[in-house]
Amino acid sequence: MLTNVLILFPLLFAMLVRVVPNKIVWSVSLGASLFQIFITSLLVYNFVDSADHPSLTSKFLWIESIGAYWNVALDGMSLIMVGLVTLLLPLVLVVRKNAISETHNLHSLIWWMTGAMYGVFAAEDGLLFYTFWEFSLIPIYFICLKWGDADRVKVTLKFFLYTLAGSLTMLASLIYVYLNGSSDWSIDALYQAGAGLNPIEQQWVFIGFFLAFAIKIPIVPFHGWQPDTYQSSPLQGTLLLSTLMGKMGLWGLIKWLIPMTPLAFHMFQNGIIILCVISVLYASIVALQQNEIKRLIAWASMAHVSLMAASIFVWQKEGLEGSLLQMFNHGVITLALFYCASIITNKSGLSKISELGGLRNNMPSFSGFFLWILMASIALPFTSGFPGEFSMLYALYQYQPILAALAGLGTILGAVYMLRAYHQMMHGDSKFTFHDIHQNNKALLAVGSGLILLFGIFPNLLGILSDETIVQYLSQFSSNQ
Amino acid sequence: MVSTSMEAALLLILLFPLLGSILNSVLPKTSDGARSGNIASISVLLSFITAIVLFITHGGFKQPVEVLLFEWFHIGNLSIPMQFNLDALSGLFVLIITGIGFLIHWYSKGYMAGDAGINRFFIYLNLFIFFMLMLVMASNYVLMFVGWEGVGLCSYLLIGFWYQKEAYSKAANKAFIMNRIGDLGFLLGVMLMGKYFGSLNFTEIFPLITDSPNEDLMTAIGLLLFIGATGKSAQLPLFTWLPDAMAGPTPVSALIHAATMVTAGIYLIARSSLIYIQAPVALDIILYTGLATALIAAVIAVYQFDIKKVLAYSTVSQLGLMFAALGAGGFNAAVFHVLTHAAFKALLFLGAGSVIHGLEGEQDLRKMGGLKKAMPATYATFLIGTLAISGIPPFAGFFSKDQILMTLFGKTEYLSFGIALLVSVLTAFYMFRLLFLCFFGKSRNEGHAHESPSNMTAPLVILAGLSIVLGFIGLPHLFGHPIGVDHLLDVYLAGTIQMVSPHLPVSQELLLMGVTLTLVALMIYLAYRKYANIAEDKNMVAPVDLPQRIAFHKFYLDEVYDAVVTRNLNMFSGFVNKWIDEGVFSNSLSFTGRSVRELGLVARKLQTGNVGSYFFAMVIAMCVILVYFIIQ
Repeated sequence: MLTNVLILFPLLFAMLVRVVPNKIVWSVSLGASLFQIFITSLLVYNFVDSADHPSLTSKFLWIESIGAYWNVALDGMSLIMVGLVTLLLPLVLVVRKNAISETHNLHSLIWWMTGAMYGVFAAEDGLLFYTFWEFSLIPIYFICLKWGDADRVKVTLKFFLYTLAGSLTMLASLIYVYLNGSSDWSIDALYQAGAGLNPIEQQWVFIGFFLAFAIKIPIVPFHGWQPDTYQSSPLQGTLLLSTLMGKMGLWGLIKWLIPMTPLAFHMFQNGIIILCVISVLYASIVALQQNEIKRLIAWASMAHVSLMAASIFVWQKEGLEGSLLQMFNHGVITLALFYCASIITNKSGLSKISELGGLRNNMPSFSGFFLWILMASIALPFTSGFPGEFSMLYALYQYQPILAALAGLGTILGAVYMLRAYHQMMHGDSKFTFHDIHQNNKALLAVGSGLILLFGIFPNLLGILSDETIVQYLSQFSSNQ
Repeated sequence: MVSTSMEAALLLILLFPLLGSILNSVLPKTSDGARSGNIASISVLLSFITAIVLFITHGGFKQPVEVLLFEWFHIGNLSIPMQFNLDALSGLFVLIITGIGFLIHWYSKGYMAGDAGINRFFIYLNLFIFFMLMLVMASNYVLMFVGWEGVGLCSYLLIGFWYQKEAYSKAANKAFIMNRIGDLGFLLGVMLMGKYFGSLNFTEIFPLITDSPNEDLMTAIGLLLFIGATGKSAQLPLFTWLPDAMAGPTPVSALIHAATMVTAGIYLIARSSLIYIQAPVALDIILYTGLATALIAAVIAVYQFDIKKVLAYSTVSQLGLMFAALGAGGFNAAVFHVLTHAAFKALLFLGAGSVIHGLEGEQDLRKMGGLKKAMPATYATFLIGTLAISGIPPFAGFFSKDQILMTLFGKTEYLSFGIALLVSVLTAFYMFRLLFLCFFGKSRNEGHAHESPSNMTAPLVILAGLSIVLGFIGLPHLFGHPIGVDHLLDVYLAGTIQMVSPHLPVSQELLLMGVTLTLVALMIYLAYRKYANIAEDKNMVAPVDLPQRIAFHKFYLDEVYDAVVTRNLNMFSGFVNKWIDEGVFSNSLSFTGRSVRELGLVARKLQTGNVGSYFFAMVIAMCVILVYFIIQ
């Protein structure tokens, strides 16, 4: 039941917040995000108490004629994703931009999207999953369209076309599986129906799903929308897209794609892992050329999520543990990175790396935070970027050492483009006259940096939640095969 | 039995520098930075004292002390504990790191006085000690990697300490990136071990290796780890970052880029000696890489004019000799040389720092000369350091270098012995060249040189003392045996690492020493003739003839890397970005985008931004698909 509150409260609040006076909307909205933290903590507490705690699941009939249920459940894996959404929600809401006059509209859309994402991670019913999946797309589309930069119309259209294409093929796959042997839309029935299809059918179903997820993650060559969209969106939009929406695609691989089409998975596994490794290298190599801060982070982020996808496709305990750790931590790190980028851009009015320089003279404390966050992005040990990345490379190594070595080149290239950018922007003689960041910004960066340290030293805080679930989850499929 | 007080003491060794770093970060800055210097120095001193006390009360770590804090993380069933360990090998390194480290902190108080960033300097320096201690005290390879990367970070921060200078900041990047290349090798080696042993803890892996020998596997692991070592310890082909790292303040060069961090590669291989004795091919590669690096760096050092660059190449060369010793199986000889080298190279760097300080920032040997009078304490201690590194008895370098030479000779590797001998002789030449250029002849500097303050010269004196006495803990059989104190260090390390103790016939040993010393003396004489009486810097322009120019420009290695790697990578990434990503993906998309837009002009009437119309469109689409399936 509590899970329903978790999902429905944001959707309800998305409507309520529209009538809140613009003056206090920011505070009310932040206050409401505390409520989500409370609910999430309660859920985590219940889960640790007992993995079958009744508060974690809810199921009742939704559309009887086609056998669709409101069927939501949280386990150790989805709790990590829910935790990420809850943790990042206030950090996205807190961003205040003078240019944004209609805070209540923006916040309404953010809350709407949050509720939809909770739904995506909790859904145990195919139709419900698809509904939430689409439901999450609409608000981000409007956020980008309304508050984006000058290129926003063109860019948003591209983004929309991409995701729509993926959504349609996914829907086709879902319906196909349902019509061919599934009694209802529940995930277990779909698993069974999917596994019962012949290899050719499974391949087509697989491709349908994979397109949707690969576009969302994104993996090369399905990435065309990403750098432009990240750059054109307002900060809140970029944060939502990069830290949370991409994770929906990765989640789809774990929860929907691979279990539903086991035969096709075995046929495609090797090819897709290779594709993901190519994607890591491709993104890292293109990142070397970027001169816009936000685009640089976008490409770096693409290299990271591609590695997560590769490690998920290894389909071993090691790979899933590493990916889940990294899905969580990458969310925090990427948020902090984009936040730093926006501070630089707001302070200097510039967004080109080559035009900046010597910022460390102006902003000594900012430069410290920035370096620490950047080090997390290139997986320095004791930052939260390391345990996940190491586990994922380890899993990939167990699968095929050469691929791990190639993906590992991404860590070298990561150091090259990140340190080069830091050097150009921060070091050298002072060029500007502005001063260090405001106390509020400092506090925010301190929270981000603190989370990076916390999960760098105690990654097991997340591991305790997911370990059991991952073992059970994988064993469920190995016995089927 | 290990008592809890010992465990606590072990943790304290680690924690003091970290605390120092944290304290200096949170306390408000003082204007002269004296307090941060004191906090930093005292914290390292406390670590050193704790280490000494533990060393004495625990009988020289014959029984390793272990502390398990908690499980850091795990990958499947592979657990990575936060666990620390002190045994003979790591104990020795801890004493070097905290002992020499304290002296350099103390010295830095004088050297860095007046620098605006002094507070930051000591925060980084303390943090470095913390990570370096973690590197040697870790009880598994992943935790060791934490220290390994952590010292890399501090090295990056300190090389680029004066970040306003673009060149310095670039040198910092170069160091970090070249280390990262090696680190990938390290990581892959660690993953290979995890795959085959199911554990990464030293105490669990090493018995497994002895129980079931597997040469191919050991060779692969050994080579991968060695790639890591070539990065951190500046060996071919990854050594070019170290000379550039001299951009950092001189105490940093002494501590990080001479005495401690760069020896991490030696520590890694000595720690893994059980792996290497089963991998002769890997050892051969280490031997020849070490020798090649030692020789090339020694040749380059002869032609340098920057006092710190000479010392940097000298460090690379000495590290090469240590690797040669490792490659010949003389893990003990390499560790012995790490110890003596830490003392005399720190001394030489700090001495150079004192000279630079005295000449207000001048680093060019051509603009020095005749400093013997103006800086007597610096001169005397520098002379001792030079004698030590040149291998003159009874200074420390003599014994450790002698042991390396004997190990190579004993292995009947006459070619490698010959190269090592050549390197030692060259070492004497370039070091005395430096000494003479700096302290002899007439002054070629317009400024007025002055001796450094006592808080800088006192550490020099202590290090000079160490450079004299440290050799005696590794007396060769020839001298030590009659009085029963030969190879004390080997006795101490026995059981912790593998070792070779060559026993040559007395006549042969004496002959080798005689030959070596004669050649060294000859070199000193040559250097004296050529460099001790230079009055003007006119004659000392950069070399003109080709072989010399090649050596002066460090064999154009940086240029080669730039042409082969950097430029091609940039070109390739430019190509991918422009022709593949923007060309193929963006263009084909804007084409679709355009056509869809035209279509969209019609459809626009539906897409008014009204949410309802989206649902409508969605339902229609769903219906179409459903109808399709039903008809089918």
